[in-house]
Parts: sequence; C-alpha cells; structure tokens
Amino acid sequence: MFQRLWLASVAQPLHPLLSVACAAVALTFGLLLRDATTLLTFVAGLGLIFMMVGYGVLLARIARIVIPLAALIGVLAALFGGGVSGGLMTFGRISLLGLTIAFAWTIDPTQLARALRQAGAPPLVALSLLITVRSIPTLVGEAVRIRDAMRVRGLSLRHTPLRILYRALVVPLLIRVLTLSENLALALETRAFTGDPRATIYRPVALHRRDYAILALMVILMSGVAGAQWLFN
Amino acid sequence: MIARLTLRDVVFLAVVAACLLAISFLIVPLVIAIPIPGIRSLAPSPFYGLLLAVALLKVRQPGTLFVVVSLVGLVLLMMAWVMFAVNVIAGALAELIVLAVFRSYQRNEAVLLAAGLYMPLTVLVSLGIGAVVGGPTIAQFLMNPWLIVPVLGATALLSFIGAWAGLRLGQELRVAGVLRA
Repeated sequence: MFQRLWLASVAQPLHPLLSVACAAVALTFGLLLRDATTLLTFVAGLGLIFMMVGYGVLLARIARIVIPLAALIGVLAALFGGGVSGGLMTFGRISLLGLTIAFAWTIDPTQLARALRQAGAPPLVALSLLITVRSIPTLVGEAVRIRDAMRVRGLSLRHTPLRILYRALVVPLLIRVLTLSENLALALETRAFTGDPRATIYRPVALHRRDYAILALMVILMSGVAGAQWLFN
Repeated sequence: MIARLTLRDVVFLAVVAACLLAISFLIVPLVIAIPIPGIRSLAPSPFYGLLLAVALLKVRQPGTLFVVVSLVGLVLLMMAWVMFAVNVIAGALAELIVLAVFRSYQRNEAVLLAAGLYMPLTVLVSLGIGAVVGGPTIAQFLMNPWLIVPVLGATALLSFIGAWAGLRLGQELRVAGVLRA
C-alpha cells in the first residue's frame, strides 16, 4: 500500500518541512471550525489546492479509502446522537485528516532528514527519524515473508493457537528487528558516522516557487474560510 | 537525552519505533470504523507492550521509552499533530512515573511498568485532547465513565500482558545470545 501510494505521488514533492507545517496548520484550522458547511468548504478547497499543485492522482487514491470510511463514521456519529450536523462534522474532520495524511505521503524521508539537519536538528535525531521511516516497508515485508513461511508449513494466522503464533511469528520477527538494527549500526560505524553536528549536508533542500505558491493558496483559503465563518455566524 | 545513547542504541530504538508503526498501520485500519473512543489504542496495545518491554530490556537507560515513542510521534506528526501530542505526552508521563518509582530501568518490574503503562496513558491523553479540541458536546460524551473505564481497563490488561510476554521473550533471547544489553 505504501509503495502504491508513494508511486502515485508527484514528480516534484513539496519542501518536506513545508509539507509537515501545511498538514499541522490545516488540521488545527479545521479542528477550530465549528460549522459543518465551513468545514466542508475548507476540505473541498484543500482538495482543489492539491489538484492545482499536481497531487490529483494521490488525492484520488486517498479519497477512495478515506471518503467511504469518513461517510461510515459520519453516519454512525449522526445515529449515535450527533444528528445531521454532527455527522457532517465528523465526515469533514475525517476527510480533513485524510488530506493531511496525503501531505505525509509526498515527503521523501531522505529529503526530510536533510531539511531537519539544515534546520539545526541534531544528526542523531534526523538519522533515527530516517531509519524509522525507511524501516517500515522493510519490516512489513519481513512480516509477510514470515507469514508465507508459516503457510508453507501448514499454519494459518486465523486457525493457529496463540502460543504457536508467538513462536512462529513474534519470535522470528523480533530476531529480524535485532539483526536489522545490528546490520544498520555496523554499516553506519564502518562509514565513520559519529553524529558530529559539524558534518555538512550532501544536497541542501531549498524552497521552490511551487512551495511559495502552495503557501499563498493555503493563506488565501484559510482567510476566506475564516472570513466566511465570521460573516455568517 | 539522546546524546547519552550509543549509535547502536539509537538505531535499535529507531527500528523498534518502525516496528510499532508497522503494527499500527496494519491493525488500526481494521478497527478505525468502530465508534468507541480509545479503540485505536486498545487494538495494538499487546504488541506495543511486548516491543517496548524488549526495547527497555536492551537499552536500560532513562529516556529510552520517551525516545521510542517520540520517534513514533515524529512520524505521525507528518500526518496529524494530535497523534504526535498523544504519543509524546503519554510517553513523558509513563517515563516520569516509572523513574519516580524505580529511579532506573535496572529492575524488570520497572520495565514491566513502563511498557504496560504507556498505552493506557495514550487512551487518557487522547480522550483529554479530544475533549479539549472537540468542544463541550464531545467533551461530555468522552468523559462518560461508563465509556472510559472498560476501554481503559481492557487496554491496561492487554498492554501488561504484552509487556509480560516481552519480558519473557527478552529473557529467552538473552539466554539464546541474541539480545545483548
């Protein structure tokens, strides 16, 4: 799923720190909106900005997952005492969360680590974040391989007792975690990585015109929505 | 805090954080549609307990738990700051409670308490943040004890069972020579 979403993203992603900031600001702003119409307008506007900056394919893929989920939770919220307005608010908030997650999918972990170093973060923090993000698909792959190995031996995840699952799945996965971390640490040590803060950055990450454009569009959208809320309430 | 850890420790904790995130990404989507507050902490809690216990058994330094959950939080920060806040606040609280009681992670009881306490604290912190951000109606709904107590109790139970399994597994791995402190 990660690979498919990443491949569906864009040829020119935004500056990684700008993506994180946009996600944080958009979510905070959306959570502060108290009216369903304004919230849904904001979500629609954010979706439009996504399409304008070339994130249309990614948006379509995320919408395919998020919109049915948001609709289901929205209906449940409406049925459990929230009413139509409560249901729409829930739908809007979950859709907004989906859009802010879309920002995360466009971030290249290596670029993020470089941008963090440029922003003055300690090298160990940037490195550990990079390892964390990069290891997720590897570990998912390991889990799938272990599951396949179980299937070959006639064990299925659903019909195997917990005690055997612990031996067949958890123990090998944990050993892989330990081996992976040992190998990574060894690779870093052999390349003389010491976490020296004076180390230079291989390719500095810069802000481009697209970044300024999305910043301006976000400011215009949020000002418009805030103005509309103030005018109509 | 991170400066006191060796490179090997930091790499190990980063891989553990990745493992926690992978588990969350696999399990949380299965329960996300269930309209029970705290269910997203309840479902992966035994795995979090287990992995955090193993991490603390390998790196018995004050701050280890905080570093792991902060890394998880930093990845989640790219998606939503609320998840980052929940992770970091719960991690800091769990760390403070355990260090106030045991002073260090040298005893297995400290490891068990830290690994078991983290997930129930995320339930409380997320409900607290949800009540603050969501407004009075949601606050009233979330602060209903009939809703909180069962979810909190189940999360604590599963989390401590996971942490206990993690302690057992850690000892087995240490005997096998795979886990070296």
